[in-house]
Amino acid sequence: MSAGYEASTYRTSYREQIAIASGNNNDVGFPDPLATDGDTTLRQRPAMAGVFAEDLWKPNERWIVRGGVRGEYVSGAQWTGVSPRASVKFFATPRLAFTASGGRYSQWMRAMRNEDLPLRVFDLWLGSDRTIPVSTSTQLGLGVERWLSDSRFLRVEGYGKTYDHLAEPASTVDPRIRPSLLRYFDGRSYGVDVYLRQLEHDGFSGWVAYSYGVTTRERDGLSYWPAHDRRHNANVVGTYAPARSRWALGSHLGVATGTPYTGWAGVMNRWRYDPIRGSWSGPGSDGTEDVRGPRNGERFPFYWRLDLSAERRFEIGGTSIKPYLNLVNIFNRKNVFLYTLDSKVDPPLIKGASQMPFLPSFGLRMEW
Amino acid sequence: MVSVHPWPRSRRAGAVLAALGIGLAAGCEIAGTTAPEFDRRAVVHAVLNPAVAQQTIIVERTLRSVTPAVDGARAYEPIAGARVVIYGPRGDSAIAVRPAGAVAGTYRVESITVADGSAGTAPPNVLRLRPGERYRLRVETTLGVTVGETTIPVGPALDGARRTFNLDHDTLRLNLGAVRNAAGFFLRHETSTAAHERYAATIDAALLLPRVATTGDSIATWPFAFAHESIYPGITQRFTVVAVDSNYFRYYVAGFDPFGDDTRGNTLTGGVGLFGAVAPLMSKTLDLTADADTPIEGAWFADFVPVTLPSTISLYSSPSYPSEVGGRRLSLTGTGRAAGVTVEAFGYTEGVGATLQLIPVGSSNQPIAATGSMSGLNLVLTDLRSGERVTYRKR
Repeated sequence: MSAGYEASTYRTSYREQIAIASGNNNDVGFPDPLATDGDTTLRQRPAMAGVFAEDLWKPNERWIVRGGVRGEYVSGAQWTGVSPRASVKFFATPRLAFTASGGRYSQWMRAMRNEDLPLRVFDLWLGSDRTIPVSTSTQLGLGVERWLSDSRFLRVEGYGKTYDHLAEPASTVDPRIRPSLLRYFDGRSYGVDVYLRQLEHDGFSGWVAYSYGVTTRERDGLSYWPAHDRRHNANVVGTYAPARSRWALGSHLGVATGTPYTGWAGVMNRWRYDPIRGSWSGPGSDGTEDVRGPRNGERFPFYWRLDLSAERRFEIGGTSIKPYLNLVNIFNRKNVFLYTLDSKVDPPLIKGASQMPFLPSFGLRMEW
Repeated sequence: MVSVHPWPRSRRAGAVLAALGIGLAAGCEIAGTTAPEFDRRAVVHAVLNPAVAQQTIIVERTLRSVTPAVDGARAYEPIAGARVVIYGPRGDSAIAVRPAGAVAGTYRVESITVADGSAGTAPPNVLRLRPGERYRLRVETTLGVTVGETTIPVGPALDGARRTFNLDHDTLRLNLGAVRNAAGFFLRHETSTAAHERYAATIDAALLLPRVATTGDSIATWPFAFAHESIYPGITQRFTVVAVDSNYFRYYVAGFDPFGDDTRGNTLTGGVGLFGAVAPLMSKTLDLTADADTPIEGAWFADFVPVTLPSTISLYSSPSYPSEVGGRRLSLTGTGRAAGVTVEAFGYTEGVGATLQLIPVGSSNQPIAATGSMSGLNLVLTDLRSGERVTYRKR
């Protein structure tokens, strides 16, 4: 049995300074103008104290039982939590085992970001305090492992998870973080992972992995798929490097169904209102605006990509020199990175930008 | 005061960084494909305004594209037959209907304003607007139900009194002590030819300061400073201030979120658009003047009735907040009457010489370009187009 304690404290200081007023009216603003009342200074001094205990129990050759519990206190949030965890592994035969695990987990320091933004430039870490609750999760997993031969095994795992108090900023592009403007979601996910692994045998090794997953977020009675909710995902990786050969060849094939994005419900006329006369100026008098559809209600097309690599080893003196060539996305598959709507033409067009195109690269590795 | 102008340059940083990063990560453009049929949504525009006796609600649906019609008109797909109801917090409600002769998609309801704190009384289906109270809008269409809520800001009675305002001495003030439930303010400065607008989350009570108080950094602290380059003595201008609720403020000020999950500025559910409320506080016409402290300033009268040039003209040579026009400092402004039409004068002086553009107000007459000079107590102007030459004297 092992036990211990943990104490940590952070000092964070976040300050942004955005000049708000400008005479130029052709620029991009941020989505929530009521958050623009000047500079933001956010200083946090979160601290956490925790104790934990864990025990590994092997009653016989067939069973491995691991249990533990973690108690935590987060000072800023005045939150106390007890998180029990347990896992069991049962060997039905020396080559077949079943696993089960469950537990409760908490997170009081998190990267604050809107998951719908395709790419993040900066991360801002926020600790829990009086206004930002601690995020928690309850997880359960069931699995089976089977050695098919001395160098090949198969693992299948199913899981189910629930989440509470996941925080995100309302905007994807506004760098201003205001705790009062954060949105909180609950969520759940479940799925199954299948993993077939070939350890090195006659120079060949590799693995095949397949995941089926469903993830949802819920808030105010509405639910949506988060941007990373990829329903089917498979990867095949192979390497051929015979012991007597100076060559090593590799390949990777990835295939997946599309991730969600927020589509469109058309375009709306914005109307200009005259508060003195109490009249509207006419359709489009304040321009037009793309109208978004349900959050992440659409999905990108099927994804696939094939990468190849080759490496040659030279021995010069006591130095091993390995020039290599990597070919990423060898078929130049235009997997969609994001879509945009061009509504100024009739019929409107959906345009897009692709992920990484065909990209060859080469280099040299040296070992001595 | 924090001033918020829609889509200012300085707030582009985040979006630019995001776009830059995305551009680097993205491979290349994917050729456009025809968009699938959209699931159209209802678009509703409604504002509760206690200063008017009729509330107008616009109901339409989202468009597939914004391509103008053949005649150049804006694309517009109104929704007829909608049920539009506004609910008050005291169990009262009123149904807005399409008035006779109004275009489809337009719904109106008569209203009265009740400001004494009581529930008020009104004829059937007349909406009672009580500032400070929360109202609910429900619009039923074939596309579904759109709902929104707003709280009407509270403010003093609308100040619409016209007055003469000396830019060298006077201060334009607004009683903000009585304003409640306002998320921000809408400010509009109107001249005869242009309007400048601005939204501000907070404003100072001193809207327009005398010139002596607007030197150095203080120029940016008064609410109408955004229009300072258009405020001239000798010209009649209008200054408007409206308290607005958070929905109205968001709708007109919110910026674009390229990856966001809602439409810019939308605060409705079940549809998109605006259900907001306003409280007009001031809409004041000011006859702007200044101290006459240089020879060319004052009221000038022609010796005879000219054909093209003004018969009378009042000029000020030291505008409070002069701006560059055509590379020269605009330092001469005023108002006159030419051929029965009011003209506004804009120009500059060079020594004893003066150059003026005389722009008719509310008339299709061509602007007049004139040059002239001071000679003793006389001002002599020449119309550069017609050649008419007129001598003016002060009275």
